[in-house]
Amino acid sequence: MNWIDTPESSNIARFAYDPVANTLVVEFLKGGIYNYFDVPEVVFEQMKTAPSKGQFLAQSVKGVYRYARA
Amino acid sequence: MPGDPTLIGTVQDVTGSTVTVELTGETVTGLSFVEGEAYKIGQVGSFVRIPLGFVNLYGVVSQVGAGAAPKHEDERALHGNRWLRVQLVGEGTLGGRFERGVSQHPTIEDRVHIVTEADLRSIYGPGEPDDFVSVGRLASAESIPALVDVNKLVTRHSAIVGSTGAGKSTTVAGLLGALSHPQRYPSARIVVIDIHGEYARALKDRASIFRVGAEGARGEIPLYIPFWALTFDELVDLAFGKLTDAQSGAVSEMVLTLKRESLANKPLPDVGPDVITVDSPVPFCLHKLWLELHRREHHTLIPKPGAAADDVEPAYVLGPDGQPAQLGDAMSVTPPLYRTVKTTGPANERVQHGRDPLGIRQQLSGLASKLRDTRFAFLFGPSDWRPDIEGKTARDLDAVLQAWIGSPSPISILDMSGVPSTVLNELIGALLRILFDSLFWARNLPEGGRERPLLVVLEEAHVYLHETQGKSAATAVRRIAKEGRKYGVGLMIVSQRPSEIDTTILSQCGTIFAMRLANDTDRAHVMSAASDNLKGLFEMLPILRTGEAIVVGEAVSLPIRALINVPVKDRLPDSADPRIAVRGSLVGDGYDGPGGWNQKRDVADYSPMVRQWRKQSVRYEHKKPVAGAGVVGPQKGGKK
Repeated sequence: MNWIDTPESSNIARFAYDPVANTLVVEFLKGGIYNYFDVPEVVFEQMKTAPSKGQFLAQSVKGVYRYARA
Repeated sequence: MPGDPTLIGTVQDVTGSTVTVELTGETVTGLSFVEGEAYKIGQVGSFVRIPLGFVNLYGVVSQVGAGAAPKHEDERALHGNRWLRVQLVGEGTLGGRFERGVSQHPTIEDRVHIVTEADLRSIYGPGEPDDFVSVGRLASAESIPALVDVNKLVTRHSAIVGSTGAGKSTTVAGLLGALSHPQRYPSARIVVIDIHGEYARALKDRASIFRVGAEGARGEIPLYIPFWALTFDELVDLAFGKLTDAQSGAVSEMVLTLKRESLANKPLPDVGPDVITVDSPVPFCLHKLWLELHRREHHTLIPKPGAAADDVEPAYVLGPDGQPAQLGDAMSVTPPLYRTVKTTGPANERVQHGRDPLGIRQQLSGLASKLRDTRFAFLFGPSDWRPDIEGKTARDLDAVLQAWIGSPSPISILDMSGVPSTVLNELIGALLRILFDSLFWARNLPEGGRERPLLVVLEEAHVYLHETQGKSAATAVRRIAKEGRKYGVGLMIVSQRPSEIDTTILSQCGTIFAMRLANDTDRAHVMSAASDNLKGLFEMLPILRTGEAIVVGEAVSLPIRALINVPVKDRLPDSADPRIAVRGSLVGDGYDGPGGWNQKRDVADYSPMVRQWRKQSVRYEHKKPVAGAGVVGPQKGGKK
């Protein structure tokens, strides 16, 4: 998995996407890696281009896709 | 000598180890400068120095102000309230080492000085660098490392106490990190009994993690505790529950016979049938024991008039073919079927009660259900260590011990979170006893405790070391506390409720790391267990900062108020509190966590919850939800 570092975000450390399992993986700066399941690749692409990853995660991923702590 | 900036006052009263000091006029401001550093005078818990010829006496300030003044009314009025009360703790020869205990007392008008950083360095500096490990920094002078003596810390036992959230787990993780340093202590040997599974994360790169119901994907190793390594009493507690003396005598006789049988089938080196006892760690088939006991307990007989008393025939239920329907099978825990008693009717239909039952039907059915229960498989059906019907096992105990205390990693975490709570106490007791026994008998070997000592960390110790409930764990721990020092087994007891821990155990702990502790009862308990004369220091316990500890006892030259080193972020134990309110906003940069009460709700599906529960595992494997199967759409209240 290729991690994408997000030094500009105040909440998220880095994120990655597993295209086989359709899983978005997010690591928070506070600690803790979380898997978001059944996320289409297009959402990951949107997240990559989103100006604020944290805002995108909170608005468009949270509440839509199931997550679990890794 | 008014010019000396370190001078703070003079001795006015000496009683035992308590010295009352009157502050000089110049120091009332409470601040003094020595070599450019500012020192606060009269901080409770700070140190003072009283030079006495070639010797420096050191003491710790325990009380400041009016309360510390002598009782005489007129004297108090004369000097105001500028008083300190100091507890003497030790002395150091000029330029020499610091030692506990004082050889002489100060007298009236002896000068009292503040202790500067240079003095502190000589007090807290390591005598022998190899012996000491840094666990943090002094709270009063952060440039000075807080050093503890590893020898004393491990062999004389220690306790880490503090309220929840005071930083206990972090302290333990930091301490274990320092003690298992790969370059300094490549042969460190530490076992952590972790009943909540908190430490796997913090120590993952230095620890092997053993867990009941292990998940190989996470690098966990299955934890097996073969039942035949237990003593007879431990086995009875776990397998049967309560037995009367007569019952346990009969059962023990059968266990011994089975152990001898198994020894005949698979001889063990140097163990003859005459030296083994019912407590010897020799494999035997528990399933067979169950079946034999079940037969004895439940069997019925077909009487043979005129035959000898021992010439009997069991009354099995017969199938259509005239053969017994079920003779019983030990390994699958299938009981034989017997006919019910019938004492009337034709003679050939009569069935009698069986001979000498023990009256343990209830215990036997309990054992049968445990033998079938997969949650107990780590104990009663431990994979390669499960004896077959002849009592033979694929592997012996050395593999178990080597895994626990001889693995390549310095730390072994025995994660007990998957162990049924009803047997937790007995099991921890048995486990510790097995470890201690093996190290005890191997004390002349390089694998033994004298050559490679073992540190046992007991996390959340109040759960199983309670004074009243359960005795097995407390008995084992008490034994290690008393005898462990000689055979190289040290304890580190970690608890948030020290008052619930057996006093004899706590008082055996030579070193105490006391973190913030608000509860009065707990504080009194810790104070009474501390071997130090510096109980005044413990008055500070309710106001310590998070991560701050008062370290007293044998492993430190002087009591230390220390800030414990916090491990780097991904090495923190998994015990942080859940967050109610996460920080952030929906329109800003999002939130700093995925959950919390102040975020919109997630799509809820409670079927995975039940799945995890049934699996008895926290490791979630995602399965794509089937459309419409129990999945509730986005909540009404949630914002779009």
